[in-house]
Amino acid sequence: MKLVAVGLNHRTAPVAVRERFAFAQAQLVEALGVLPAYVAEGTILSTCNRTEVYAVADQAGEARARCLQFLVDFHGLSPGDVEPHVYAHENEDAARHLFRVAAGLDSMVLGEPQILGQVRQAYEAASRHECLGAILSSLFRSALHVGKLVRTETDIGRHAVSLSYAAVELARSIFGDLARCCVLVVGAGEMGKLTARTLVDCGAGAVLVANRTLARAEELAGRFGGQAVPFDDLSAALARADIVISSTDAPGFIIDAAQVRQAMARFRHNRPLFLVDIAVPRDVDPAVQQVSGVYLYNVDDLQAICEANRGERQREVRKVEALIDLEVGRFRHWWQTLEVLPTVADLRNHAERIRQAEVARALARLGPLTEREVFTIDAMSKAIVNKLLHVPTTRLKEQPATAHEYIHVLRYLFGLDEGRP
Amino acid sequence: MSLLSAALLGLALAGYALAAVAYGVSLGVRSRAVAWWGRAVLVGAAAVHGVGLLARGLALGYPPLATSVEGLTSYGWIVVVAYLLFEARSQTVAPGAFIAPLALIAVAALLVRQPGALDPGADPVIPILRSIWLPLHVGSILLGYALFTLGFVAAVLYLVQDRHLQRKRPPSAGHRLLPLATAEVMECRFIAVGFSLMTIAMVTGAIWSWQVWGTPWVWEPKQTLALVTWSLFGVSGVRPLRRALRGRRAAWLVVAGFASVLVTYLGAGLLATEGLHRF
Repeated sequence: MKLVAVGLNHRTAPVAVRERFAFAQAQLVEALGVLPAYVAEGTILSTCNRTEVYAVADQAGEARARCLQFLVDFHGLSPGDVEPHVYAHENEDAARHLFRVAAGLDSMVLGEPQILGQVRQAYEAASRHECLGAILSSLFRSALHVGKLVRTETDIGRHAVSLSYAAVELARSIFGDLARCCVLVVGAGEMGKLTARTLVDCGAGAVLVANRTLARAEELAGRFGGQAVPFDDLSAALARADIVISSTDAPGFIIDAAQVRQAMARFRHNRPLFLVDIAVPRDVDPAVQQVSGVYLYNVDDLQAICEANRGERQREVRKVEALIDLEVGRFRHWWQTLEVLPTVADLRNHAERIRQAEVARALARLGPLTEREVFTIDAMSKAIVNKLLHVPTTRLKEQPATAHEYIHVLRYLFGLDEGRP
Repeated sequence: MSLLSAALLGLALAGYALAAVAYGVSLGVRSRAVAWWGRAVLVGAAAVHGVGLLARGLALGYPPLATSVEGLTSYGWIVVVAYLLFEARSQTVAPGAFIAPLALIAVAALLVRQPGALDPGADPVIPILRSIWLPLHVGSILLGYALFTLGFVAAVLYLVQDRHLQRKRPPSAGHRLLPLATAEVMECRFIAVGFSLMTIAMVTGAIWSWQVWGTPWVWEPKQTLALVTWSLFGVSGVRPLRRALRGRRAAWLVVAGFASVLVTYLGAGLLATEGLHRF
């Protein structure tokens, strides 16, 4: 029994190759339908950065070849297209690879959370189409567990590494819960809209939109479920908003210190104000941050935070690897026990066949016996077999690490493989 | 009984030391697991501390509030219990690195400074303190001080977070700092309740003083200092004033108020040699 992980990802294959081997949602159903024809157990993990097949087959070399064959057949390509980009991991290494993928260590953005959901979907889809057996089910459940564990136990996915999420985290560290916060979106720059969108998705309470053209403001406000405000009346809007996202293409400052100072003192009663200036050239006069209770961040500030957070995640990799090591150890133990089980069963069957034959022969020779006597002879033979086999079988199961050699010895000494087709 | 109480307090002392180390380490290495252990040890130490105080009270026949160091030890217990409730709500463990050593000092003070710590009977209490006003006056002031301590903790968290934001440092993980707004709300609540309790303590103190000294107010150092503390927190606790002083300035005022608590309580209680109210 061999476990393999065969696939290609953003490190080994350019997008031009990846896109040809990707499985769209609709294709996946069909693919999972034909996969059992190639391997005993199989799962397909397909995202924009990777296409991987996890499979169980009798022989390792064969498993890899069959997975490749499946990929090539399904997408109607030639083996030469995929060979140079493919990696293949076996057994323990395959398990480790999946755990690293689920933990986000193999992702383009270290520790990103989406991959865990994608692993779960791959598992569930394969499970629905009955492509999973005991081995892959157990492996994927472990992987999901690892994925969750590393995100709660380490900081690998904790800090924002994109501008919009950095803005959300900052807003949270000022206001805590965003539900009571009002977001003012000034201008309609792409980053501004994205940041506003992210804030709304993260629970921001109300949205105001100000734009030079009122129609544009109303259109945007409709999209965020907010309210358009006149551009000339920014001061009034500043009095209401807690978070300001500014991304106009105005050549000069549109929010100045006097305006903010007045809003803070007169209307906000010094309630904190968080300004995010994503525009280049800048929209907000840097002097604004001298005002007490005002926190102003520009593009560079946000970028620096993302950069620092990337470093932070990098530093967590070792902790994550340690957690993965633990889980791989658990998998190894389970896997090796799995390897022992067929031999234990063969040994028991072998002994049982001999026992039954010998009991039958003895009973034939002894002639008519009472039921009690027959029972006693049968019980004695069973007891001898059990007592003889008890120690070797428990030792095999207890020491799976060394079991591999013993399996060969045992099979040879007892002739377990003789007389087999 | 007294031996039991001393043994329990000694155990609590060890627990606080261990918790202080765990909280300190958890801040250094940013590990939630270590902080979890710190919290577990702190809960255990607080439980032992509480039983130790109870045992002492039963052995003495009056609440363990009569001397400055006894009061300090009781105050330490109240602070830890209140802090544990705060930590459960806020999920922030950073202040534990301050609270645990504080409790450590509070317990150590009793065991070191009080000659009769091991044998309470050997250190007879001043007769005027055997009164119903002892638990009322001292209890409310200690509870008030405990809440001021937590208000101070919240104010420091506010100032640290504020500085973080001003320097544009990456937002810190949730278990180390609080959002500004949350820190401010907590600070306000602790100060408001602490201020009410201190007001009660001032009133009961005046009544008691009137009973034993014949006048509600003797201008002696501790009372004067308490009045300063009370006014400082009054300013930061009263709503209209608070609005004008919101945020950074209010937080600094709370820090000043806490410094004033320290001077009032430790300065006048433990170090001063003059004055009627030396306990």
